[in-house]
Amino acid sequence: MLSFTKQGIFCKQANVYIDPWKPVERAIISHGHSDHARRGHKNYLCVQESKEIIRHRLGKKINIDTLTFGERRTINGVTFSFHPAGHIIGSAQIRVEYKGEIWVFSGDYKTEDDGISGAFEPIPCHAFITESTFGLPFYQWQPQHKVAEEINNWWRLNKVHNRVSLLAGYSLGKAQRLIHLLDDSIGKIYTNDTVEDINEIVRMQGVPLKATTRIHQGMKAEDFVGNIIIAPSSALHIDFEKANCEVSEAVASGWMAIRKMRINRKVDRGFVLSDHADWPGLNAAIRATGAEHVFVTHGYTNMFSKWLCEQGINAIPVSTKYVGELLEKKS
Amino acid sequence: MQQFSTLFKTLEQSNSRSDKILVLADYFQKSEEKDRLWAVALLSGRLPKRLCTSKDLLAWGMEASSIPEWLFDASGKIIDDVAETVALLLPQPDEPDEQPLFSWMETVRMLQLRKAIDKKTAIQKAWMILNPDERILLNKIITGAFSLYLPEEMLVKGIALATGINEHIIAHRLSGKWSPEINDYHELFVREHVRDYISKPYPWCAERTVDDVTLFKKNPAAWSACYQWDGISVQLILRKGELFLWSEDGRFLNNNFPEIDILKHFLPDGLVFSGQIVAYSERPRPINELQTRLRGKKPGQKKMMATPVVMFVTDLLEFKGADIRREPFRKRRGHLEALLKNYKSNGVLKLDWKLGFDTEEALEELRQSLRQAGAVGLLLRKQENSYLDGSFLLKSDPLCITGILVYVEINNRSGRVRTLSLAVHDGMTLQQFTKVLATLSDEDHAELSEFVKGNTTGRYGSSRSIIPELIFEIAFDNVFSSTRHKSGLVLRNPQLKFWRKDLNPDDAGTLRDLQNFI
Repeated sequence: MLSFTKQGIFCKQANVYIDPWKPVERAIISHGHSDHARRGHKNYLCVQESKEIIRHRLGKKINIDTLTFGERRTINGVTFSFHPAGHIIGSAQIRVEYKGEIWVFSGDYKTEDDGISGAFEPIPCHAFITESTFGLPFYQWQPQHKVAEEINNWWRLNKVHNRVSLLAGYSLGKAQRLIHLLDDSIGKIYTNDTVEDINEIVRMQGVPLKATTRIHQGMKAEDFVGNIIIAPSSALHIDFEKANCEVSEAVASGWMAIRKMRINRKVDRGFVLSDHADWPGLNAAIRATGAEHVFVTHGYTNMFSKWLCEQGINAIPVSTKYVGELLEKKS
Repeated sequence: MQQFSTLFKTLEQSNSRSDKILVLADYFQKSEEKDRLWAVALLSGRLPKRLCTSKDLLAWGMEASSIPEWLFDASGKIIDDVAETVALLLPQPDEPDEQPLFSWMETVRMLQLRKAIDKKTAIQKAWMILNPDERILLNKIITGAFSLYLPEEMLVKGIALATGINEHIIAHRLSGKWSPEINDYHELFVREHVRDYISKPYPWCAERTVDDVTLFKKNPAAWSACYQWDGISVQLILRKGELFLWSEDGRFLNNNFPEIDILKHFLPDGLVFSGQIVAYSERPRPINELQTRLRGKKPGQKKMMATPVVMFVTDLLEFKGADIRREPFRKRRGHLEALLKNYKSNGVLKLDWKLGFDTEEALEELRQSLRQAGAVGLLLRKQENSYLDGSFLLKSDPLCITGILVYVEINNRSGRVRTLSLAVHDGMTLQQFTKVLATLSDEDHAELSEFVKGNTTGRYGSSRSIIPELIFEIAFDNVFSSTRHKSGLVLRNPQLKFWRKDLNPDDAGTLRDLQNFI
């Protein structure tokens, strides 16, 4: 029912593409990250919660239509609907049904409910297209509250020693989740423009995000002492060195699970926190769909497929242009 | 073991010296007392004997996990560390483990005497209890692969901060013979020892650096002068038959210099010398030759023969057990000369307050001879002054060269240019020869940033290669030949002097110019 073409994942019956990477007539978009929501399509269809984010990133002029979660849209006999993926705010799985056959495209997803991105909903289907960014057994996340505790302890310690805390995370998704996890009784949360633009959009949608302050030109390096900045480190133009302010820099990413990666990053702390499913999460999600066929997209596709086959699931690796989790700058 | 694993994780990642010292101090205050000495032992590289090989570890790990072998191997290739692979591929424990570090170390010690099969069973059982971070540590400890780059002085500072005990005492006790199996933390570091007093150096009195001779012109005869060589400042203490050699940054150096340590058998008691240790073969050698002696543990015969050292004694602070720092230098020097005449030191101790000057011109002449002599400066002391009055270091004029800017390093956070890499002409090509901090005014910084933006030819992380057009003048103390640098030479203390906006790239210096300075 769905096929993998040069333009993207294609539904021939409905003449619709899902998260295509080349410009097409009609595109159904799972979420706002730039490897999934690309420029140049004539018509966009996405979930309500994702609309403003996509418009913010691709321009106000795009032709965009929305559905609510669970709402159905039938195109030439094929029924499409969006279901929460738990990846970032407004991220959705796309369910496709035609003559009783059900396929689900997961987009990017995580199985832990982070409190702001909606809880991942397993959907029974015949075929499941899954990501595999962290599809190896040593990727196992701690529960979110434990990571939050680590981050807040680090911030608290920095405050005691009059340091600026600088926590890097990409602007859409990770940044909001970090803000959600921070204990704002410790100090103020500062953000740069790209992060704060997204914050404003999600607040308008009613997501209860903690208060943040946008960094502007007039601020002095001293203003940030004891407080925390959520921004990619390359996006800041504040000379802490000159002002003699000590900075502790940290990164929150699933890649930080490996020591080598933490040390090579040259940051002071690496927190293991990802918006993608870990190994147990991927396995549980796939089992819950009951799918007979699994297509494995971006990540450790070959190894994960081989593993699934050994578990008695018919899994095939497919090549796409999705990139999964980047350490930084995923826009 | 959780506290220690948190400490290890932080030390491993943090890029800040002060941060590392603070977390160390925090650990030594809050951790289980019996754990502390084990932590000190591990962090200073005193590891227990290896329990198994990493091959064993891998085999045991594979057996304990429920993951197929091919997936285990594939994961191992990505993680790239056996101890960590095994640690991460096992299931997470349900509950945190409460056992302290020392009891785990006890377990490891007991296992050393057991058969391989028992070791395997015990380690596999331990894996089921510990969390992944703790498992990494255990695996590294039992395979003898535990290592962490932590300079000993940081560890000393951390313990000193936690205990409130003087750093030199901690450094001294740390360098002695002890083992966490026999000693305990409190007794080793916290309790007062009678010996603490005898190892204690006097506060260091830094010399003031001066650039010209005007200060000395009023009464030249009141001054004594000697060469300051390219070495490290030390205090040599001899009390109650023991000798202590301290560097100015608080390192206990007895083990590094056995030829000086042995002097305790030849010199009388109750002495404190201050002076410099210098690499020496026929004449004083530059400090880079001394580095091999400062690094590592006790040197062997071969190393000692390859790099002989001497100590140039410049002052006497304690004599016959009495603090004589307040006596005039004239007297202290008298004692010193008599001492070195009466007691043999195999030429290891040298005194050279022999330079005299009656006039300002004679001093200037001495100063001009510095480079010829291979000295870094002239140390000047007034005959009538006490040690506490201090001394002066008269330096020769710095050498200068003009270089072409070829690379800059940008501070990622602020976007400012941090360092400049400069090149000189070498025939038809450019040869990079040094890197200096970009100590420029704000206007010049802005102008340079603008230039870098428009003339970048390549990016390498935070470095940029740029079109070679700008000329800077560099001042430096000296230049040495080097096999480690592409240019074949290395500058001592290079500093940015001017941005020579009046010069073109053709006017810059050449490699030949630099070689001529050697």
